[in-house]
Amino acid sequence: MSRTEDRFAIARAEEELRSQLKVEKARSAALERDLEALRSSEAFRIGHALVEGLLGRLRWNVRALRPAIGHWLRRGAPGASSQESVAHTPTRGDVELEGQNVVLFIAWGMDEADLEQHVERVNRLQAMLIDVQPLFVVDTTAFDPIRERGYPVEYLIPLVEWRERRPPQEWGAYVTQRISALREEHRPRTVIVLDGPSSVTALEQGVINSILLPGLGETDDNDLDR
Amino acid sequence: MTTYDYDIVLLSDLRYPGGNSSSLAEEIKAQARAGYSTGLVHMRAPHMMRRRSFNSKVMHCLAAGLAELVPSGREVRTRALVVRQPRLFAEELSTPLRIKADTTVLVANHPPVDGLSETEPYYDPAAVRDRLADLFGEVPWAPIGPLVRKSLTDSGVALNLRDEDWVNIVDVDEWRVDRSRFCADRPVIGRHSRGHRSKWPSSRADILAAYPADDGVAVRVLGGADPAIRALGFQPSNWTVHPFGSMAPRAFLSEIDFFVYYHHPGWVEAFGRNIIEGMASGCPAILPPHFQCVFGESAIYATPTEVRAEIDALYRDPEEYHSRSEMSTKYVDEHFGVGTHVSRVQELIGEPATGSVMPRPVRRSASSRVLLVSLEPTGLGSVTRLVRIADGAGERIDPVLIGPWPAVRLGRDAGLLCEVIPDDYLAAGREQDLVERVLTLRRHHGADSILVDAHRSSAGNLLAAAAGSTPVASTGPSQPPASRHEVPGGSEGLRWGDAAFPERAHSEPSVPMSTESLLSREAARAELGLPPEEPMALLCAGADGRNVVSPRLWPVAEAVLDHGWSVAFTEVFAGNGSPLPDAVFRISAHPLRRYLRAFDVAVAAPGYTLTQELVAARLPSLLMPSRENEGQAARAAAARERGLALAIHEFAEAPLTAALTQLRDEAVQARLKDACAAVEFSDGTPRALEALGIAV
Repeated sequence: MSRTEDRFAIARAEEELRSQLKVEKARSAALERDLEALRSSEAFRIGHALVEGLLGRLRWNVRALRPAIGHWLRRGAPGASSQESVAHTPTRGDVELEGQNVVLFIAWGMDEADLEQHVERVNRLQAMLIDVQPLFVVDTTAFDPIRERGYPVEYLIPLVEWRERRPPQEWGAYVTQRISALREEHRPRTVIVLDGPSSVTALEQGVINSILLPGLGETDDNDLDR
Repeated sequence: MTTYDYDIVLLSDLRYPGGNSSSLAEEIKAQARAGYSTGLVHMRAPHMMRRRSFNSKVMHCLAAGLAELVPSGREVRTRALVVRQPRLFAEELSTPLRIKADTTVLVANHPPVDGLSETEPYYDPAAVRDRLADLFGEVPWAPIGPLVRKSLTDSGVALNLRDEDWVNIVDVDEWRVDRSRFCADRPVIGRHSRGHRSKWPSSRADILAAYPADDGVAVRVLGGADPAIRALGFQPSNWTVHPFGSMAPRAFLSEIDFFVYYHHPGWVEAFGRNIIEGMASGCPAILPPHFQCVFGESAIYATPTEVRAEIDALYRDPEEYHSRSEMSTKYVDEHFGVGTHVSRVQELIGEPATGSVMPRPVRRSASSRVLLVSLEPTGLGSVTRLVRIADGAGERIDPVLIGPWPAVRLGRDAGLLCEVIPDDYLAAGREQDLVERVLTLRRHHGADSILVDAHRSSAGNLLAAAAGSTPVASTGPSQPPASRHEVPGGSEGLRWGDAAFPERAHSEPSVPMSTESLLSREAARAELGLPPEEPMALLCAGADGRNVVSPRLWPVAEAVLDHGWSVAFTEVFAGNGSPLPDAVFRISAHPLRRYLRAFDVAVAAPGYTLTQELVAARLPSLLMPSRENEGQAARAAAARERGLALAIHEFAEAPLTAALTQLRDEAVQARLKDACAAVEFSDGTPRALEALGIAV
C-alpha cells in the first residue's frame, strides 16, 4: 500500500469510527431521556418519596447515635437538618432537578480568548466542588471553549448587534424575557456574572467558591446543600 | 468655554407607571436619534408613597445606552434642564439638587386641581414656582395641552407660561398597525388606561353607552376595569379585560378596531397619551367633545350615547374607516411625532453640542417580522438557504435567524440577528422541546410568522401544529426519498411539497437566479487573498455530524495538488490557525457562491445547496459524496448522469486520481460548463413569502 493510499485508509477508518461514535452518542442520549422520563413518572415519584421518607427516619435515628459513630458520617454539620437540606433543593414541581446544582455563569462581553480563560477556571471550580453544573449564557458565538468541555451554553443577542436592526430600547425587554425563560427551564441556584479580567481573579482566588459553598468558612465538610 | 455633561437633563420621578414615563422614554429616544446626549436625574415625588422600581421603559432606555442615570448628589452641567411634573416640587426638597443649566423648563403635565382633587389641590402653583426659582431662576412653564393650560390660568397664579404646549410625543413607526381588515366579524371597541376610578365614567348609563354590554360588539380593555365593573355590578360577557401592564399596548391595539375613551367627569385628562398611541396605531378614536382642542378634526367627538351609532356607521363603510384611520396616523405624526420634540429642543438649545457617542438608534421596521428557522444539526446548507431568502426578501421582512452553532455564524456574518439552538435540542426524540424553544423565541421577538428549513419534517410538522394562528411555512429539500436527489432544474427537482406541510406552505429553496451577483475571478481572488494567476481548486470536503471537518480533507488536498492545482478550502468549524503546506489556502468566503469564480474547478461533497451553487456558477466539479449521506450519493449520481459534474463513489486513491485527471481535461471542463449553463433556476423566495402571507 502506498503512503497516499495509506492516508485514504486512515481517513476511511476515522470516518467509520466517527460514525460509530455518533450512533453511540445518540443511543446514550436516548437512554438518558428514557431515564429522565422514568424519574418524572408518577410511579417513580411515589417510590422515591417512600424511600426518602424511610431514609429520613433512618437518618434521624443515626443522628441520635452521632456521638458514638460521628467519624463514620460525612453528612450534617451542626444545626443542619435534613429538612433544611430539602429546602435548598430546587424543584420543578417534581423530583427532576433534585440534586442538581445548576450555576448560571453569565459571561458577558468576552472574546474567545477571555472566554477560554474563564471556562478553564470554571472547569477547575467544578473539579473542586461536588455537583456544580455550569450553564453559560454568552453574548458571543465564539463559544468553542465552552462546547469543548461539554457545558451547556445559551446565546443572547448582544446590544451592539441588536441596535443595528432594532430599536435599542427594546433590547432590555428581550434580555429580560430570555433570561426569565432560561431560569424557568434550568432553575439555577446561583447566578454569577463573569465580566472581564477581575472575574478571572475572583474565580482563581476562590472568592466564588464561598458563594457556591457557604459552609466553606466554618467546616471542612463539602455538602453543597448547606 | 463651558463644558457640559449633557445636552439635556431630564428631571423627574422615574418610577411613574403610566404616561409620564412613557413620554420620558419617547423624548429620550427622540433626543438620541437627533444626536443629543441625555442625563436622567431621579427625584422622588412626594405623593409617590409606594415602593416602586423605575419604570421599565426608562430602565430599557438606560440599558440601551440612550441616556445615562446621573448618580444622586453628583453635580451636573447641562445646556437644558427639563423638569417633568410640577408635583415633584409640591413640598420642600428633602435632598439638594446640584444641576447647573443654561436654560430650564417645567413641563406641566398635571393640573393643580380637578374635580377629583377634592379639598386639597395636587400642588400649589405659586409654591412650585417659587421653589423652582430658588434653584434655577425664573422657570417657564410648558403645559402639555390646553386643558392643563386652562387649569393653570384658572388658578390665578402669575406664571411664566410658554406660548407653545409641550405636547407628548410618540414615534408613529413604532405604533402603526395594519388596518386593511377589521379584527373580527363585529366591531371591536377598545380602551387602554390605568384601572383608576378617574379613568372611567362615573355613571352606569355612560359606561354601558360607551362600552355596550351587547354581543353585537366586542369590548376589550387593557389596564383593568374594576371601577366600571363595580359601578355595573357585573362584567358584561362581551368584555375582555386585561390587567394593567399585562400585554404590550401595541399588541393590544392591533386587536381592536376603535379606540373609545371616556373618563370620570371630574377628571381633567391632561393630555391622553393613550389616545395618541391608539391613533398612531391607526385606530379611529371616539372621544368626549372636550378633547377637540387637542386632537382637532382627527378624532370623532360624541357623547357616550352617540358612540354606538358612530361605530356602526364606520364599520359599515370600510372606505371611510380606512380614510379615518390614515387621518389619525397622519395627524399624530404631524402634531405629536418625533419631529415635534426635536424642533422644540432645537429651539431651546440649538444643535447637539456634547458629542453623543451613541450610534443613532434605528427605528422599528414596519416589515413583517419572520423567524427563519434552520433545524439541520450539521452542515451549512440550511442556514445558507435561509440567509439567501433573507437577502432576496430585502425590506419586505425583518428577519431573525434561528439555527444550530456554528452554521448560525453565517447569519451573523450576513448581518442578521441570530439565535442559537443548543445542540441537544436537535437530537432525535427532543422535537417537542425544540418546538417549544422556537415558539418561545417567536414570542420574545414578536415574530409574525415562521419559515422552517428542515429535512426533519417531524419537527416542522409539530411546529406548524403548535404555532396556532402564526403562519408557518417550510422550505428546503423535500423529505420523501424519491426526491432527495434533486438536482436543480430537473423535473424531479421541482417536485416540491412535503407530507409535513400543506402544499401551499412549502416552497422550493431560494436559488441564485443568475450569475450577476458573483464576483469576477480577479475581484474574488483579491478579496480572498489568493494569488491571481495560479490554477486553483476549491475543496469542500464537508463536515460530519459533530461539525468537525472531514478526515478526507488532507488526502484529497494532496491528490489535487499532485494534479497541478493549488487548493483553497473553506473552514468555519475547527482547526483554524494551524500551519498549512505551500499552495494550500484556508479561506473565509461567506456567502461562498459570491466567490466561486475565483476557482478553476471544485472538488466537493455534494450538499444540496452547494451543488446548486456550483451548477449555477458553472464551475467544473468533481462530486465526492459523504459515506453516510444517501442524499448526497443520489445527488452525485444524478448530476453525473445529466453531465453536470463528475462523481466518484468510492473514497480511494485510484478512482480519485482518475477523476481528477479527467477534470484537468479542458474539453471535459467545457462540456460540464455547457451542461450547467443549460440549467434553468427558479427563485423560491417569492413563494416562501407568499406562503407566509407576505405581499410579494
